[in-house]
Amino acid sequence: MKPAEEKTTRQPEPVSVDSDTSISENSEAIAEARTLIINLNGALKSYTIYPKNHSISIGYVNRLLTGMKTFLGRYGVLRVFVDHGHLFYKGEQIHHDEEGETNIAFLLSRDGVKWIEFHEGVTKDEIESFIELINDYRVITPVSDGDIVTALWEYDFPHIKYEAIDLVLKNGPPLDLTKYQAVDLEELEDGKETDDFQDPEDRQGESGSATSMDGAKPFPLMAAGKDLWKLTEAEEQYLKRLVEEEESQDHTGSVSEVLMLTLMMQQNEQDFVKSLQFLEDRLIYSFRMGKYKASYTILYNISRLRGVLASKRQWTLPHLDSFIETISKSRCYSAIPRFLNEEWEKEEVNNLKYLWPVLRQLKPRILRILAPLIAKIDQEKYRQPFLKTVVFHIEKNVPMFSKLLSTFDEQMIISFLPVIGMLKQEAFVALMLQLTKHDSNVIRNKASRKLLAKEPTAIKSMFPLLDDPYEPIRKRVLMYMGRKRDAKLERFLLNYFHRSSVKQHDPEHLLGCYEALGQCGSVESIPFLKRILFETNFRNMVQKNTVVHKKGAALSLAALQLPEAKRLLKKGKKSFLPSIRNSCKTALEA
Amino acid sequence: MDSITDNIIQDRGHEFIQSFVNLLTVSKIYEDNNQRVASTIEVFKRLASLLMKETGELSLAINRGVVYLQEEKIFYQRNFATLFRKLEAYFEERQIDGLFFYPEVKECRPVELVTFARLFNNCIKQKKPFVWLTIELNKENYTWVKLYKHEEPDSMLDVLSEALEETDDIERQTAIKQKQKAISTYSCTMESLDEVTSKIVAGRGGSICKSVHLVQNMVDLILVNDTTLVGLSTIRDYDDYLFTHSVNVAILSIWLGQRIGLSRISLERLGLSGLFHDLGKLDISKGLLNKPDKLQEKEYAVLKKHTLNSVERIIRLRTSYEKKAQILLAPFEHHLKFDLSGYPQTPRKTPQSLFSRIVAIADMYDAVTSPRVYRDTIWSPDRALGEMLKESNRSFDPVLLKVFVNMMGMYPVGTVLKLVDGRMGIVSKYESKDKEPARLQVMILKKENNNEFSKGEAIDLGPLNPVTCGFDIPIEKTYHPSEFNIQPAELLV
Repeated sequence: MKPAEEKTTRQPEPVSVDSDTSISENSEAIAEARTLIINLNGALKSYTIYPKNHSISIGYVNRLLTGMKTFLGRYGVLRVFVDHGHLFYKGEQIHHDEEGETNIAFLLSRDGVKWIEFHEGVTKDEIESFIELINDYRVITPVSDGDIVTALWEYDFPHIKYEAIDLVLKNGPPLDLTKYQAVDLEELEDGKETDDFQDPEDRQGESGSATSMDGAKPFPLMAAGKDLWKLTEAEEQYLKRLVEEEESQDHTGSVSEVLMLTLMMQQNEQDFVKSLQFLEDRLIYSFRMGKYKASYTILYNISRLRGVLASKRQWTLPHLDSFIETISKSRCYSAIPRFLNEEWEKEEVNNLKYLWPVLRQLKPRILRILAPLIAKIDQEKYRQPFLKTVVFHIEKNVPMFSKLLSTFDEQMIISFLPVIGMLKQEAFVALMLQLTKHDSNVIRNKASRKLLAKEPTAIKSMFPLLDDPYEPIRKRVLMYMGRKRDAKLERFLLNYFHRSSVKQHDPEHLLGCYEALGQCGSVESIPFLKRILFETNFRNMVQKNTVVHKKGAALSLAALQLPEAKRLLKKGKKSFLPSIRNSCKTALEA
Repeated sequence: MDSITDNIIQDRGHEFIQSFVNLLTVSKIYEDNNQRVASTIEVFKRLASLLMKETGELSLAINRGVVYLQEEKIFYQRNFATLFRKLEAYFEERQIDGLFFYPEVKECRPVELVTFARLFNNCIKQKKPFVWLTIELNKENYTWVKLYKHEEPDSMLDVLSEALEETDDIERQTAIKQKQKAISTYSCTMESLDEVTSKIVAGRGGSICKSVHLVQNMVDLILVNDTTLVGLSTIRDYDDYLFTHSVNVAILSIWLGQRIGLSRISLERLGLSGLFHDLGKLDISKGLLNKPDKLQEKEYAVLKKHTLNSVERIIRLRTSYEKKAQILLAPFEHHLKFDLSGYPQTPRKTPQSLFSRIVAIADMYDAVTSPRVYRDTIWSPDRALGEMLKESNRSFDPVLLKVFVNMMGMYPVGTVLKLVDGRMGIVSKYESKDKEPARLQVMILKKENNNEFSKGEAIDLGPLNPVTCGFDIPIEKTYHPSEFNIQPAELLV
């Protein structure tokens, strides 16, 4: 309801009081109205701070709705008058605040609202939309579509009515018909009239006959017959269908096609860029709305356009490339899980299929946005193609993903491990190795396990993990080192015993190292092991762990399974030093 | 460029207003040679120069508490609320709506500015401050400043206001209010279109906020079957065709949309599509648009590009992309015919959208009934409909055209008629109700000595005879009102 030109009423509604009862009823109603406005303000404020589905926002809306229902159940309607920074109910001020965008009274008054009315039956949806609407137009910018009044008009709430002063009309110019000249007076004097009827835009006359209306003879409406003046049932059905289609149809596809055509024909660089920016918005919009088929059409056409324009207008290429770059940065993709987690009708399922090729056309930087979404996709049927898409982008730019990975938190990395597991060998190894250096024990452990399970040869790049503070990792590394004879591993382990870090480790680890050396080593290790086993002045290296080292060396020699090693063990078994003798005895028995 | 200019206006606008208010204040308190006065003048001149850099002049206006600088609304900021209120009070008390400063202000002597400020302050004591100050400024020969005041309401609205005061009949009051609303909506829409196009021409994107509001008004009026707005759509402007044509197309499109049952939100979109359907013509020279001769092939190609240009211009409008997307299809397709001939010819072979079909009909009707320099034809509205019917199925959706013809009537409002008894009249109302034969009301035209026509009596030509397709009082001939230099709206509204 928006009446013609309402005069500004700055006086609040007069209050008529007949008796003591009505005074008391009035003051109760006023107090309740005041509370409702407090809750409304609270809801408005919470919507600016928290999302709509945040518990605080929900709390305010629920309180407001409950209060409103009680009030409306009791009094039928709540009509609040607006006057600058004030709100009035039954002539009493129920709200006052400084003039500014945080004051609902100011906002309503700024856009011309005289009063606003809530009716019985008002729904949660209406209340929420009302709050969103006020917040949307809290600040009017040069790009605003309208204001609170135009938005109220568009929403056309069934239970929220309003009356507004028509500010535009009030300040508009008068209509002066004298300034419009109906016809060129000179021509009029010539008294021209012709039967040549043309499409007004067909300015080529006969040469443009394709578009001209050939109307050599007039066609009087009277001659059309009575059928012209009544629609047939079929025609009415046809119109009904047209209207239904128009109001349910999404024109994203058509709009994109039109924009594409304008780009194709555009010769001016500035206009080209503007159209492209608009298309960018369109793409983001379609994506936000889950219209993936439309998004696909846009991207597909952009890539076709690039092909067509590559030779004709080279200046367009950087713009087209930057288009893909820009949309790959958009946050619009974060809405994907919302669409993938729902159960859709067949038609929508078909639409979802377009998501994957769309995502694949974007730049790998999209990973920054897609990566966090992995954990949010519940349905397996969508999870797999989603993972494949992510894998596709990682493989396109592993170094970029590697950097990205270093910014992830533990949980995120864990959810990403299956994705990394799907990568080709080189990328897989590189990224897993990166994770074996992560601060988290859990991640290092999982990464080392996955990596060694899939690529045991990667052990050669995992020596540093021998000093890993987390025991299971060290054990695993040693286990893999000892799986077969390998000169590189042998050399590493031999060097490792000379590192100062080795001193810090516990006996079990040391024994593990010796055992691994024996399992992967060769005759090359024998001199070292012999020295450890038999030399008594080995204090510099092992200090307190002399016994452990001798035991380890003996085990290692046993594991070498070489005649020379066996000979040394037998020799040691006869040693007068108990540490050597016992170590060799144990090793030989094992 | 537009955003830079806007930023200057928004960033420095408050400072300029402050300097103006300061000037008024210090001139009251201090002598001419006071240092404070000198520094205030310096700041004022510096900011004025900065702000008028692009346009060469500077406008400061206030309307309902909203301050406009260079016709841009200055955004409200809490810390400037007092300043704005002060400025509003200054202007209101002096019955002044705005000021223009011209480049000479940069060169004027400090004493002139102080004198101006004192005159401005003192005019409040006068009975007619605006008139007094205008005279005083003329006396001083201050050509660098000009006062601005809203024009008085036009007589049409005056008459309605008087009528409104005279009647107690609520129904009549509502009708009068609707008439007022329709008239104001028409003129304001023209103005809003002018604003948008001026900004586009100046290389700045126009805001459509006002247009949205006005189109909503149009929808409201059409939904309550208001006939005034429809009557106003008969306005023709030979010299500045684009604006009247665009507003008329918007009205006719909404009307047709309402007839086929579109929702009000769709009608809003449709109205905006109609309003901006020819925006691309701004890119075409007036010389070409109004060339009386047949166009060369190249020229015609340029003209045809206006549909594409319209899309470009809509993209540059200052509004959300959703809104732009909602309204750009019809401007692109309105010359694409129903059989997909027409232009622009592209590889896209999708049927015209519903809005495009509607706008195409409204556009064609308004265009062929508008006298143009390059066309000899001046068709009467009924004949225009007849000719359009011949194009049904080829140029237009036949069913929509049928609805349009029914909506306009056998003799559309504004058609000038010659009755068999020799009297001239203009169709004022065509009423077609279900099951009842259509009725035609005609206002008899009286020829005055100056060859102009004035309103005569209103007569009812009676119901349409379904067999003869004629009325009780037969019609001999129809004319286009412009053949007699008649603006039907002038007589009908």
